[in-house]
Amino acid sequence: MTLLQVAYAFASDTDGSNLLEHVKTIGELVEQEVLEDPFQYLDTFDWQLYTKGRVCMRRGVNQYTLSDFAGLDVREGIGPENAVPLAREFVSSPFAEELLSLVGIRALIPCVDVERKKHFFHLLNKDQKITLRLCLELHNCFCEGAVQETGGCIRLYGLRGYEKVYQRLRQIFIEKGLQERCGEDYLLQQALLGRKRRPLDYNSKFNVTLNDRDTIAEAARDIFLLLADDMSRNLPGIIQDWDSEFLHDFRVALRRSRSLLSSLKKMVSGDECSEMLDGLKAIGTATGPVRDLDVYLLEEEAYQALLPESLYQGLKAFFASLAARRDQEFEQLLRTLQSPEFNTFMSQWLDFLQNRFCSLTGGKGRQGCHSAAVKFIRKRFEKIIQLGEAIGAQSPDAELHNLRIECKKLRYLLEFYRSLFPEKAVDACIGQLKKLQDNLGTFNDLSVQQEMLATYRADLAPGSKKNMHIAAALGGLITHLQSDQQNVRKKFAKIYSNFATAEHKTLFQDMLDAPVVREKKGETK
Amino acid sequence: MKSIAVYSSKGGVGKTAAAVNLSYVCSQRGKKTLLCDMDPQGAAGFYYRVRPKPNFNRKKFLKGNLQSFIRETDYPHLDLLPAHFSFRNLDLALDREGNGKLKHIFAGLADDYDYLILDCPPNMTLLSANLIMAADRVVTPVVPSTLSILALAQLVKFFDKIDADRKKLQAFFSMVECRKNMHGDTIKRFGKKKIFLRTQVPYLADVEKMGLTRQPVAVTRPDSVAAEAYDKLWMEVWKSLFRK
Repeated sequence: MTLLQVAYAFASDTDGSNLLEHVKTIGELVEQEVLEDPFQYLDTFDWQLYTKGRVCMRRGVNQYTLSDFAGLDVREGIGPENAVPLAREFVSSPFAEELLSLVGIRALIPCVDVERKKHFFHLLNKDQKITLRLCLELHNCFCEGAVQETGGCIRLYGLRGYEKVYQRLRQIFIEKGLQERCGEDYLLQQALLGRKRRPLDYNSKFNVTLNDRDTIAEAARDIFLLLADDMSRNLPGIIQDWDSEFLHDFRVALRRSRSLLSSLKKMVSGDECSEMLDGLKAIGTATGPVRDLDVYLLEEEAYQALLPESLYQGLKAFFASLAARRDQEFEQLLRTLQSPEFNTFMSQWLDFLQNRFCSLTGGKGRQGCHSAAVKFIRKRFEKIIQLGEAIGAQSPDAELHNLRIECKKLRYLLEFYRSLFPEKAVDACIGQLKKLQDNLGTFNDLSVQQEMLATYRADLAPGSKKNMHIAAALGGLITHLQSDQQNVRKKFAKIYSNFATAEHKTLFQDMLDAPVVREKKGETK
Repeated sequence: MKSIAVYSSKGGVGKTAAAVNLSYVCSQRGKKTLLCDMDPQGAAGFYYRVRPKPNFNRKKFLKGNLQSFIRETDYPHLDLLPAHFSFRNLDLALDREGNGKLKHIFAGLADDYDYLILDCPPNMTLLSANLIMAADRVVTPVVPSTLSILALAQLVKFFDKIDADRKKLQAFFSMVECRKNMHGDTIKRFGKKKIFLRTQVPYLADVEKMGLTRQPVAVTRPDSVAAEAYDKLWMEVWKSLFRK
């Protein structure tokens, strides 16, 4: 029933024994036991656990712990032995469920190995009663074969009714200038000091702060470089095939780059811009099949939920064949990503951005990024309104498809240039756009899925019993998806009219008319 | 929160030893347990090496703000409210408050603990009546002898007198010495009565040594007969708490 707990960190130039001397001034200190606690910190590439105030540790090969930063709320579970596990690979348990809810489909990647040596002590009074529990921890971190001492910490666990002892010791440590914090987050940060990875160093959400004094060419270059960095950082995860989101994030950065370059194409003189666009497109084409298959494979449970049990057998066979096809496509993707051509193109792309892009954009590229962004966004918004107004109940699906593409382009623009506009206004506009995009996106996904399933079904060789099962399952799915798609289409008119209200048009207008937001917070021009 | 008063009007029957060991067993089973030492001699506090806080006294106790005076023992899930010497005059104060006062005070702990174990002083006063009324079970140690059986009969009468529910009274034979004929005869004659629990706690050196070790027997001698007896006794009491 310990209510009081605090920890003090100390640097690697001491073993903490000097701190124990202070403790001895207020009672008899008795050592209880020493525990060696070697473990490994794991988190997803985008720090899903750390963001949510949790850390995952693995002891031995398969003993996992989820803990809050304070180390108070601790859950334990047995999990997979592979180096980079997925939450869904854990055997069903409350632990696995919690982990899944925290990290979803992202893999747990080892961050650093830590060896924690714990010395436990009791502080006794004259009755030999425990009045305080202490733990002196010494930490060593291991990375790439090298050992790094990262200091340690002393943890105090106060006992109810003996608060005075706890407070007195706290006071002594504070007077000695010790830092009153040493949660799991602190240790993780210390352990990662000087390493390639740092907590929260990657977020799949695009975020760039532009300088409003930059030209549009300079701003675009900065965005391109960030996107190129995202691509290169996701590459190892794709090659190792840790989880599907590395490829997803890579392709998002790629699409954003293509969209931005297309929108600036007219500004850039010479053929290099077209060559770069072709190169980026080729990478998109090369990475597409695996991503498409990943999307289906991630939907297996959702598809199963749509069908009666009698069709499960066929569905299972269908997904088994998709998984096999994915393996083949992945081999091809690996060859592409490890090819000299790919590496050469990526170097050329970086070289183009760093050394030639700005100079090739000429006069138009020298206009201020804010005024250019206003023009781009306004033009795209007006186009969306124009396309949207023309869509009626009988309009062909292709018109919705075009509208979806335009919405996506507008979304990218808003995300690229968001730092130049008032935060609340951009968020409100993105929020409105997102509702429309969700409808159009779902409509498109359902259409693509039906098409794929129909093509797959048409290609099935007749005669085999297995194929007959698959065809039946696919037939069932197509019927469901058709009906879902019709429902989504029916909702479009209302969602669009909500998007295009006078109030929302004013929202966009006000955002574009707002004074420029300076890089420094609070300063506006 | 369930409350169990370990009570006997006689002294030296193994009452505090039972309260100390039952509270330990209870807490070891993962239940949040508070041992409340109501005996001004403070023996339960002594066994757990817990002294009362300097500013604690009868008045503070009666005000009902017990939270600030509860102290953690050396064992997980087990806290103790130590007695104070001024508890010897609790009767005087309770005279003005009636039999439900302690029940009201202990109700304030219901959110913090699963079990409250009361180590009661050996007398038959207003304080005893209050403790009996406050408890869900009153467990009384009986040394197998004629006088103890008479004392038990008196206790039953006392229950009637204060209008307490007789069903919550449970006795167990304590400090049993098999070699003594009187013990054997008494147990033979009364042991099957409904009021008696099946578990008997023998007279054991390990229990006596608690005064030296100042720890529950299950800590110093986890595999001993004494530790096993208190464990069985707890299980019997615990089961009876949930029997209709």
